[in-house]
Amino acid sequence: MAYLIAAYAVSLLGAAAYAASLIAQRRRILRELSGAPEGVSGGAGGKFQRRA
Amino acid sequence: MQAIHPLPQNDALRRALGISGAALLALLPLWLWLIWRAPADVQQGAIQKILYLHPPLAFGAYLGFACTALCGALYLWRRAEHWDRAARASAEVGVLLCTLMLLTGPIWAKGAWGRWWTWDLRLTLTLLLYLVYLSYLLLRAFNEGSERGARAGAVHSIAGLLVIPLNYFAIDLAGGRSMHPENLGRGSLDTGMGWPFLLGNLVVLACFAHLALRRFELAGLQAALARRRAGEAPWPT
Repeated sequence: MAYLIAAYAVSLLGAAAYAASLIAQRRRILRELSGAPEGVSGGAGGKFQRRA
Repeated sequence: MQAIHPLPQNDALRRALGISGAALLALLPLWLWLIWRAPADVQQGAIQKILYLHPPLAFGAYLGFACTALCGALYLWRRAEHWDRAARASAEVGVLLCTLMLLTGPIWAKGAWGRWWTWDLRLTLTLLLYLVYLSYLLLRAFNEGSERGARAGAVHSIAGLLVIPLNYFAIDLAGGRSMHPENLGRGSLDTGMGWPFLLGNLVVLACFAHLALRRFELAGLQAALARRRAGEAPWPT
């Protein structure tokens, strides 16, 4: 039973990890192409500061 | 400040991604449920249920490599960049499925034969097939963006196709002196084993289509990014 579970787990996790890496690369490239700075999803540098 | 270019919408690609993703999400739980309900084999017991995964992964790898060769041939004929991108996407997903096949096979072998690997003709040819298309990916990675690399890759992928029939008929070629079981035929599967096997093939087919389309889309974006870094417009205007 352990071999059976290992075979299915390896396959499902392997395919899911590959899909996740494709999605992450797509997001990164789209962000770069749209002109937004790397890693900016909220405040600049991860901080939120009020406008002067 | 660099110019902001609107992203072109490829509706057909997005639709195909949606359909393949929805098919995958719908089929996956049904397949797992059918595997759970499938009867255990009289000789091997529960471990025989790897059958619903391992051969479908092999068919998925065959499909990926066949698509690589077909797209490579179309690239040689048409010289259109998108055929080369499709070939690379198919090869990458084919290699992924072949990797998973080469991982699940030894797990099954350990449970059923008591050993992880044997230099049986089928197993050796599977490893050869894997190395042929892994070397295709290496060749392409070392010749990134080169037309010569794309042409060499196309020829490599077409020549590599020869290993697929050798691999499939390896048991017959070995004259029965093989530890690997024979290919499935009519009557190979008992009652309750056919549906999970069929669903397994459909799940792998949907998975191949979805991942290859995603990889194809990503390759287009990577090309656009490279054009932008070279100071050109990322999309044709």
